[in-house]
Amino acid sequence: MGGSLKSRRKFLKLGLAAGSAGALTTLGAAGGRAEELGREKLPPGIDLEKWNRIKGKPYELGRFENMPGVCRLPGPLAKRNWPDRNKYKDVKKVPGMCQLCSTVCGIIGYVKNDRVIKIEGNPNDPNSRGHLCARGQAGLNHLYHPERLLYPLKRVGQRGEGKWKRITWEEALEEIAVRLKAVRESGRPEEFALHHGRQRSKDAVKRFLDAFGTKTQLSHRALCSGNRRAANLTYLWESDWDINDVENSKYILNFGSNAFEAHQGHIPFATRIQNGRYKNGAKLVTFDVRLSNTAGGSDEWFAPFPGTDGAIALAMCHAIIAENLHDAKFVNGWTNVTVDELRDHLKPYTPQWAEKVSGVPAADIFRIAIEFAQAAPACTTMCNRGSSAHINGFYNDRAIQLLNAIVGSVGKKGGWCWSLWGGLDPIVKTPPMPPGAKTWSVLEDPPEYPLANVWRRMRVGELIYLYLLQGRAKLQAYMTYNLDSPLTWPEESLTQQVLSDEELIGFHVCINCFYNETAHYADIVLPWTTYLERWDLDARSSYNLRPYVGVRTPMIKPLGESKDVREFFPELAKRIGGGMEEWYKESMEEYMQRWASTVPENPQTGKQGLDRLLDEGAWEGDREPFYEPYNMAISADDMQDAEVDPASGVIMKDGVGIGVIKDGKPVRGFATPSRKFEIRSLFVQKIGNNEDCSELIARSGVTKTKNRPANHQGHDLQVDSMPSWFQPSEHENLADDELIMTSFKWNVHNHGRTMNLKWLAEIVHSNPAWLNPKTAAKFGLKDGDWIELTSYYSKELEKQSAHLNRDDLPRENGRRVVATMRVPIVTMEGIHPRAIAMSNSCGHWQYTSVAQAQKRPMKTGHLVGCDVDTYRDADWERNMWWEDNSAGDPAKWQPNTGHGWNQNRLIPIAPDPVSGQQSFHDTVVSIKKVS
Amino acid sequence: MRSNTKLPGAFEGASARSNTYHLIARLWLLEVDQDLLQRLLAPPLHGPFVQAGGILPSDACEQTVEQLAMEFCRLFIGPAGHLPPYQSVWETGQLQGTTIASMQRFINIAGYDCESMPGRAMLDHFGVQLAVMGHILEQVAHGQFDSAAIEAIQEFANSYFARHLRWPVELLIAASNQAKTDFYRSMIVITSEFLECEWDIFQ
Repeated sequence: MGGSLKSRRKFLKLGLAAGSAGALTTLGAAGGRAEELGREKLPPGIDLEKWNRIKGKPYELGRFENMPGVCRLPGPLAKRNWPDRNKYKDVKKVPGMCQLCSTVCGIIGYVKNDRVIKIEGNPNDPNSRGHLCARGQAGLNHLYHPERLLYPLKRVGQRGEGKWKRITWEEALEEIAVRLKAVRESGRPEEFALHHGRQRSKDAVKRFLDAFGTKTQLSHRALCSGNRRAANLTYLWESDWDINDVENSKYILNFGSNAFEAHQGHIPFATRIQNGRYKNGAKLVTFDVRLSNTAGGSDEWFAPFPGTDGAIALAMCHAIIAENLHDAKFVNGWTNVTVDELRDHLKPYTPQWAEKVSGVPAADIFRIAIEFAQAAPACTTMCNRGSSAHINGFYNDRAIQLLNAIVGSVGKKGGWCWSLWGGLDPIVKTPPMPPGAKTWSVLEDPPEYPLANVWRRMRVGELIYLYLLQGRAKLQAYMTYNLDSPLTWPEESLTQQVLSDEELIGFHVCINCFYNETAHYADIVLPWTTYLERWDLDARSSYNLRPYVGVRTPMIKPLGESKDVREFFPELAKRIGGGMEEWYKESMEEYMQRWASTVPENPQTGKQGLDRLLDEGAWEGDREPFYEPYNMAISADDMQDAEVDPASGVIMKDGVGIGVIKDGKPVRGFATPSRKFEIRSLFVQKIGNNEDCSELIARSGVTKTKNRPANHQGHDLQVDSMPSWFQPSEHENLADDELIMTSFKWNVHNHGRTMNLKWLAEIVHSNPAWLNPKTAAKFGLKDGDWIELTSYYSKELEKQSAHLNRDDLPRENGRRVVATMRVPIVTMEGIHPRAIAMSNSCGHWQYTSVAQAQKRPMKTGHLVGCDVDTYRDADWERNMWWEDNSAGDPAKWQPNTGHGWNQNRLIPIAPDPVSGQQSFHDTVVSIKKVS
Repeated sequence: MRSNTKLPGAFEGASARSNTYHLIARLWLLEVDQDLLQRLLAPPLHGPFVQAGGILPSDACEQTVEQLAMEFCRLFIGPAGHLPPYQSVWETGQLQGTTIASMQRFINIAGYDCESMPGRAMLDHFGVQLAVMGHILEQVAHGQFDSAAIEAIQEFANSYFARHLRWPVELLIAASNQAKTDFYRSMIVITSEFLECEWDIFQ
């Protein structure tokens, strides 16, 4: 250390020059200078009294961790002094709702000195009941991540080149408004699409799009839960979301769901499963091609051949009826088929047949079926993407849900239930919304998929980039919101190709907390607030079978210039004008107050509305749980002027079905055309053939269900009206070198947004392929060896879905190749010998240093002397032990290092022809050893 | 209270040093705009800036300004592989670390107005920290203090400097390594040398 006299002089000169002629006053704000503020506003000066009062050792270099009133963030260094008794002194507890996965658990943020120092579960949340997973705990990494986007950015170079400059919000909003206004005035408002990943500000997004006049809202539903929803809807119509009452169950039959790690109901569901097991004595049996943590935590685990869940379920149905263990009263009384019809239908689906296709011993299928039936009605199936994300996923899930009807556990306590409330308690009303937009776009409503949009807007998101490439649609403006499609969508290369093409996507605005693979292809990037810095009312389908309301609220002021859509959509609407601004008359605070105003008073605190939510975090009403809704009586008042169809007993009022006569009494029944649990669905058969369904819809009373509009006259698909099953043709005769690829999520990650969180990345950061030891031996492979994977398009879909075909792709032995990728393997028994598994979440190439397992490049040495250890970041500099130094060279790769590989590079676009659900688990791959 | 006609060494040339702090703070907080670049290219700033080690582009045209804005963004804003100029990041690996509370206390005592800070810059941004030091010196230069007060201010300034202006060493090294334009490379050198001089003063 030692500045020379000469140096000092030159800086004095520089200072004198800067100060002369008022130069500094016009240099631009450096903040708070006297000249800028005006002398009369000069701050009062240095408060020496205060300084003398609080100065002392805590301010000395190296002692600052003990500064009064300053809490240290948890982390590796904190362990040394753990527990810190003063850490939570004088904290403010602020309620919120997590958003690091889709479950939206209630949380409490501990805020001290305007910093969130801890997040924990909120016991008032009726769904999560105070539990919070590792992801939720790591919200602090999310909030305070050093590479968060803090300012609006504008692309400077070519799209995807990675060159940016900072712009002001004013500049950003002005440019976006000009572009969106042009789209609106072009007469093709549908050419503005908002494409979101996980989004919980549904009202804000819908308000903006409806006010704008576009219906092109793109989601990832078909990449997630499309088939499960479609299957449920065929039976229930009024709900697409089964809620398995596992806490009260005696037997839980799990088909491929990894609820202990990654389910939409994750923690609320997982904790109830365990309560059911350990407090209620329930048995948990899992069928999954992979030994997930859920499978590992089950009483029994079977690894069926991929995609055969439906075959096993049908065989179980067969066995239960054969053994007369079915609930004849329910089947004959509450379904639209008889036991005899079912017996006939199920005749070919024997356990022996199921053994042939699934590999699961017939004796086990039979035994478990009997155990399941004997536990009825307190028994339930559960399933999710494991069974749904297949080309035959719609049929898989139909078959699985059928089991519940056969044993009569539908709607029963401990059984297979549902509720009418997929979100907020209807007591809270969203402030008036604009009328729904009337546009149509093939991106949002592709005509080839009969069940994609008839009940719910399930869309077929995986198709959008292909359709853009095919010229079937064009986007003048594309707004992405919390989305990482290049990583999470199938066919990574196609997604990148389309996102980088300015002819196909004229203008791309990306709203996100971090720069990611989507932002990389944007024209403007807007820094989004985290879920700990913004407002929402939120809830999910509750496992209590009654609705509730939770609040997400800013725990601290947003960092940097980050803003939520609730803050800048109104501003954008005003700039676009043309009436849009009329839907943004209130301030955000007024809006939230009004939205929550009907939350009733808590007699103990006297607080109601938003005040109550801010006090408690969530409110749950006192409705009865939604058990056996079909037996609910219809009141005499409701029966007035109603008409009863003498043949079916269906009660119609004002042309709409309201119930059914059961044992001579009017009851609610199921909200289906027959008012019964529809095992035989004429609706799906008719809709597949584009036949008129208006009468069926009227009888159901579910007015949201849509007849297929005229622009859907493109398909003629034979959808089986009865639960059935088929095997995709490419799975029937696999070649020796072929395996079926499956994917999964870890308990510490969501699909595309958590690998940047160092606490989580330290636990899981890579995804070598799982291979059964027998399979490995066949290929001469051992742990740590590298393989080359080549993936292929579905032969089944080449036959069934000609609109997906692309001639520009290479063929290999008659098969169209998707991609080739090299990965290392781990061998383990916990995988079916004909399957190969890779987790998703890994393989980022634009998403923060942690997600890419890269420490910041830095040379050693110092410009000025300093104790380096004082300033090192323990986590980044020392603890990122998984840094990848191989530079992509397999020979230099070290086990358990690196950031993994994006499995979606290999996965083709493969929508189930019925619903459009992406078939993530069907891809046929060939493997060979990398020598 | 008496006039501080004879300031101790730490406050010698306080007014000019304050201006230097503010000028450097401005360069760290925001991209150079056309107006600033023109001023740097012209008297009275040009000579002293170049003598201090500054290397300026030949003109202040839009293209030049945009190139510098890109460089500033790449170095300090992001979106990827950048060097967040926040003390918390370099000490704890996170934004908004303990330094924020510490900065808030120093700022409160110093009577500095952060409201006009551009870009909602967080309090532990290196540019803010430089500006606060400039403000402290400015207070000394324009205020009236007795010797006891001057002593206390010196203690205050020493503490502040130790706590909040000694950390950026690695930031400066990394920025120097990553800077591609002469202007920003020289800005980093100027900053480093200036802090080196100041380091001697605020022992």
